[in-house]
Amino acid sequence: MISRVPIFVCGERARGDDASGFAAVDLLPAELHDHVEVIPAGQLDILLLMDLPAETPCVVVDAVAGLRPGEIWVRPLATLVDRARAMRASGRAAEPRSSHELPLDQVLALAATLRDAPPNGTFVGIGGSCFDVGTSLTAPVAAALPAAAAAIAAAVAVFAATEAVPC
Amino acid sequence: MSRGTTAEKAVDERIYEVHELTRVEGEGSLRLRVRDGEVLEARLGIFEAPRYFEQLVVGRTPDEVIDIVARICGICPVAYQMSAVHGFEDLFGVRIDPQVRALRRLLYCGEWIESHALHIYFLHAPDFLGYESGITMAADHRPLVEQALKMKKAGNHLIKILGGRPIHPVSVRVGGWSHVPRVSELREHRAALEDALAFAQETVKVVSGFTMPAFAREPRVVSLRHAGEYPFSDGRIVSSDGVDVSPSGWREAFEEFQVEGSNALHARSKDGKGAYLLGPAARIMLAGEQLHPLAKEALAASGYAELIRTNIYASIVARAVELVQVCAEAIDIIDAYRPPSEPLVSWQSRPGVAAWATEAPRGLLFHRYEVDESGRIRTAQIVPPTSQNQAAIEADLVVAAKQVLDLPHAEATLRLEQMIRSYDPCISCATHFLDLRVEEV
Repeated sequence: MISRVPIFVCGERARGDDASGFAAVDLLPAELHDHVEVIPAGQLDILLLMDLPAETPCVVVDAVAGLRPGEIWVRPLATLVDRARAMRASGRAAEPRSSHELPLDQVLALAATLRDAPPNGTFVGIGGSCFDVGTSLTAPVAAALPAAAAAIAAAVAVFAATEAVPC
Repeated sequence: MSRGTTAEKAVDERIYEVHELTRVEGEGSLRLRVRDGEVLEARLGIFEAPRYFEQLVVGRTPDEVIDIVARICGICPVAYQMSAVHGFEDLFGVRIDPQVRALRRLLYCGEWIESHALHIYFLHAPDFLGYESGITMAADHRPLVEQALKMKKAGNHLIKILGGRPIHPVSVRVGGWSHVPRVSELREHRAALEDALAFAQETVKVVSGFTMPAFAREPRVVSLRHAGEYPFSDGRIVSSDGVDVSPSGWREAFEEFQVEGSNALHARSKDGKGAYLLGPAARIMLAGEQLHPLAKEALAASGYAELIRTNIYASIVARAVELVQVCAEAIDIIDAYRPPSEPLVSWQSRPGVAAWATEAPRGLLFHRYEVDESGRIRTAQIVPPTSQNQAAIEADLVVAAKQVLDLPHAEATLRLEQMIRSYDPCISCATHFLDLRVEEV
């Protein structure tokens, strides 16, 4: 059985550092290509997560505002779910203005609610500073892409070694 | 939920403000000022930045326009494609295969399914059930939310089969389709639509059980009406008080105008009769006789056939009835489908005006393009339903104000937000215009 780990790549290629997830995935080593399925997600949709069989691991890659540009931030998806729930409980959750704008951690929390368990997987965040339309990656983010690709590969390697995921 | 609400300003004057409306598509605000029970100001502010689509299409060819205007909205891209393609085909005298037409109705069914499911369960139902969002509602109503997600997926998948992808489809072309599905592709999706139909019928029962806030205003309503089918893309533009023009003739009866404080143009009828309502309730009022038998049955059983005429909050029932309509019609189209003998007919451009109105999930959507001698767009006008509904929303705010004065401030504000959400406003669609005036000194 071929194992493929879905990698949901969030962001928008035309918006500066928001393209960092796509650029990092482009640098994944060739030997990994048979073990992953890269899924451009734009803004992570709950339906993508609900389509995954329960327990199937995945990797979510996205640019992150608020981190130092180029900083790589790796966490289990469950950590983001816990954070979203804590923020909501404390009344500090970002208010989704519309269905177009549900923040990533709240999408994960919704999936956790509907599944009775957080999605199984890893989040790889890449700190960015400029997300203007028509701009390119900033220099610190461009310099961090090999490290981001290595972080994604490491996350995939863990799952590829432990899980058999139907293609 | 409501950010930036302010308390009473004075004993006899109350201000209800929501600086950022939630659970609507796009960025808008609400301001209502009441003094001694008299409404001094009722305003739906739209501050989302203009998106310039009417200028983006200038110089483009008709087929390019169809792909560009789809990008106006991720929820109702099909509506933008349909109004444009029908306008161009009308101008160029293109005659399409009946199965091409059936597939376009099927594409529209997909869009209405995903749009209505999203609005009912994630944007509007939380108001009735006392939750701040669909996310918090999911914890207590998990089966409903799961079913709603499945239904939305069924709609998006239908769009994918026909249009190549679930959002912003790419296969609609002047003269037909760049790709048509095999019979088997559609049949494989039939079971999902059967499930969606059953859930749509259940949805009508669920929302009919909601407690509707008191409200009474019989609005003037406008929609397409067709003698033989529920309106999507053909028929006549009609109103409850006598307007009757062709789908290309919107400007004979209506016009746009700019209002201070809104980045979306408003619309009004030229006869001076003021605000009008578009959308599911308007369509059922004007074209309900063409509902699918299953949708008619659901409407009758809901007990809301009359109340949707006067209570805007009950639009959620009208929207649910339309879910039954489109799920049932989608199945019928799939059962009768044979691949068209001519999926794409050739056509010749000619200069002139391409104009047409179709029914987006939120109501009538009008497009008008001037095409030049080289087959490119000289000017464009796009009039989305939310733009046209703004005046009706503000008229309803005046009525709603009287119903909420006795409520605690926060509850009153929430009730007003709920009323606005009854329109399923898509503000992102409405803020596309560019009115650039250069004054030479």
